[in-house]
Amino acid sequence: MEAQATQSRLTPFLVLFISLTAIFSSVTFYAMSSKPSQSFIGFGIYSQNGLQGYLPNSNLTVSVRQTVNWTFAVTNRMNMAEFVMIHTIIGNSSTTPPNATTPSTPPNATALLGATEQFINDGETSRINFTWTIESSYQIAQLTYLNVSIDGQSAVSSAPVGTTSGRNFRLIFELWTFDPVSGSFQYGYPGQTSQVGVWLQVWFNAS
Amino acid sequence: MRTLRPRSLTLLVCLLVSSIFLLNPPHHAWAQSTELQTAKQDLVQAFQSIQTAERQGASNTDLLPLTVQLNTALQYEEAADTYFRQGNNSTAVYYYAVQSIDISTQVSYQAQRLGNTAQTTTLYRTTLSYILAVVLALLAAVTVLEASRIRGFLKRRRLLKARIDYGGTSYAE
Repeated sequence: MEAQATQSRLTPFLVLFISLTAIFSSVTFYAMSSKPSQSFIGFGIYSQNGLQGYLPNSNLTVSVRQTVNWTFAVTNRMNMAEFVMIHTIIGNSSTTPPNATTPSTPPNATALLGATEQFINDGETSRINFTWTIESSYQIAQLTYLNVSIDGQSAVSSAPVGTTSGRNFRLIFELWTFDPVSGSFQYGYPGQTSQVGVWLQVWFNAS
Repeated sequence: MRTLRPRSLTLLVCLLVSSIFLLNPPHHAWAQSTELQTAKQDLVQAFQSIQTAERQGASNTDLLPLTVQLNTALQYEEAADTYFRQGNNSTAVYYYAVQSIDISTQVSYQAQRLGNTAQTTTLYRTTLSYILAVVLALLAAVTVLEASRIRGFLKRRRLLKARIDYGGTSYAE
């Protein structure tokens, strides 16, 4: 009689216990899971003195031997540390700029002036100094070419990039990230389906 | 005899050139480029260790000093690379490459340690959370099924604690 009573109480207890365990475990799983977020890398450039030159025919004029100090701001929201490289490329008004999938391809109407590398922790905004100088300029066939030095390195020629009277040069900055699988840098950062290209450009006139 | 003389001269020149290489082998420069190569590889390895530690659950706050150290190692490696390209200061190449390797190795080790600790902590916390969930479910099930008994028990306790009224004190006086 007592065994029968216990049996009749055990069944609803088990049903209730299993149901509640499933509910509480689901709540625990939800609480412990990382919240969904879209990963991205933000890339910007600024100057302490205010930066012009985001558009062609800008008023930004850089003289020979003038040192220009800019700062890159790179924000890592990729949910893991990133090893980034910024390519500095010089172009003119006829240069095909990079886009969301393809980088510009020196030396096809552009010239790679240098590259800056940095490790950036997740959630961190890294500020990278970028100092550049036009060491000298020279003319060939009515086109002005520049010798540009970046961060105190030896000067690199802008050839094959030249402009008439030194007007409408542009510095193109491409963000590349290190891919541990291939062991090389890839243009942009890994998106949900493919690489997402990130680039900037600043127009200037050389005098 | 005349035909042999130029050949022997050539042989002699060859021997002299070889002996110069034997006396001053290009081993030093090759070794330094190897150090530089190792510095580059160690940087990548340390970076991968940091990423692994993150996947294992290490916090950004713990990993931030390691990233700062890795950037210092990168600067040393870049300095070594610059001197190597200039080709005029082999001691500097060696010095900066070794500095970079030292820091990268330390970062790798610390990242692995942080990763292992984070993994153990995560496992412990997860197990504890699920055990707590099951215990709560058990308590809730018992509470629901035994609600009438609990209510009765509480009533009884309330009765026991209640002050006994002996029918009014004014009458007794």
